[in-house]
Amino acid sequence: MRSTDDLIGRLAADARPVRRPPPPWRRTLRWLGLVLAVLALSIAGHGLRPDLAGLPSRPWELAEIGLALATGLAAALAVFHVALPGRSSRWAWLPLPFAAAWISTLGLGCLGEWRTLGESALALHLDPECARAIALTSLPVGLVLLLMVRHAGPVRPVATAALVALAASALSSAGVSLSHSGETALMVLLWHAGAVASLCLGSAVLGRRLFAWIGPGTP
Amino acid sequence: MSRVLRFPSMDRAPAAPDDEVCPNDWGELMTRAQDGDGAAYALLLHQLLPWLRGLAARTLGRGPELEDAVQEILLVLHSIRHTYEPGRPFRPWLATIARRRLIDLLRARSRRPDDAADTDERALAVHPDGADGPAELAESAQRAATVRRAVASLPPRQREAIRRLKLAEDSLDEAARATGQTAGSLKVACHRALQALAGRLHLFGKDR
Repeated sequence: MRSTDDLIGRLAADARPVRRPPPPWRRTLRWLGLVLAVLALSIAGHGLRPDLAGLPSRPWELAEIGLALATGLAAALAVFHVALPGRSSRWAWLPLPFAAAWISTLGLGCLGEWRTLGESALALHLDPECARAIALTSLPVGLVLLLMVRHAGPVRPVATAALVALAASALSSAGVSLSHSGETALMVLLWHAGAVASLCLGSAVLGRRLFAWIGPGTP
Repeated sequence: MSRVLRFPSMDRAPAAPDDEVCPNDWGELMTRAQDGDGAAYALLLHQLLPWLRGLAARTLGRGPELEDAVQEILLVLHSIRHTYEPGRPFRPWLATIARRRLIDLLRARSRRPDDAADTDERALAVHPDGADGPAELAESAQRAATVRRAVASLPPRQREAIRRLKLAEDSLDEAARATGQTAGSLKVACHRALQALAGRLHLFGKDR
């Protein structure tokens, strides 16, 4: 076997100047630019919901959208931190309070609607249009985010992949809420939060393979 | 812009993995390496060796895999060296990379049915009666040394591919996961390595 000294010689000979990634907050902003563009395209295709003007008068619904947005933003910032080996892995917890508040708001919304609307608030619609829209929007922005942090493969692949999915899908959920209306809180909980949770779980399970597939790239 | 950086002396390398030794200098050396300074990079990697060997020994035990593990960590470190942020502590950055790689190696070892522990039993099964005499054994050892030298002379990516796919007989998926490379690039590297080996074995065979 060639000695480690020889390997070091080869690596040192290959020590080309590298481009360091910008700070996490700046990378988060760059990625958000792309998300906004994709959401704008999506909204242009579906149109804004007709009752959007009345949204400020429905604070509960506004809180749901705001918390989905906050969850996605926190997850995106966490992605760029967790993907760096020199940063603490505790950044992965950053989006959790927002996600918990979002899910709680949706759950409380279900209870509130059940009290006012009765049984009809619990009616299930088996048309997962929202989940499909969230998944379709999440896919391009999630893939770009994954490529932006492809160096995380040998670092923290599972946490990074799960956070990538959370960031992409929570922001997509907020965006889809601007197009889709007339859903009960239960349906939002089921299809929006369900889509987000499924995408996170799938990404966590496939995290290692995803990063092995795209590789760490060239520094 | 000129920067005056101190080169830490080699004898200040850490005696034990947990020693807090010249982490700032390591950070400075890595910053210079990121700017393309090969000499600073070589010095840094040499200084990291005792630390890495200590960590690998504690995780994997002292065995034939130890040096391989250290080399694998160096390869990963090299592939993501741009992620070190100048001015931030170097040791947490290094420790995250090294521990992650060692955990992956432990996982791969636990999945491998032909673990090194039963190598002797397999060897006995192949040569049950010790039929080879001293001359055959010497020749066999020489052939093995020739192959090892040829493999070691390959570029890191090709060596890794051949070691994983042909010597350790990992599956393509396992090798891709362990190396962080795509299955496609591993296949290409393996193919090129085999071509290079064909030529080099001839060369090494001549000059042995």
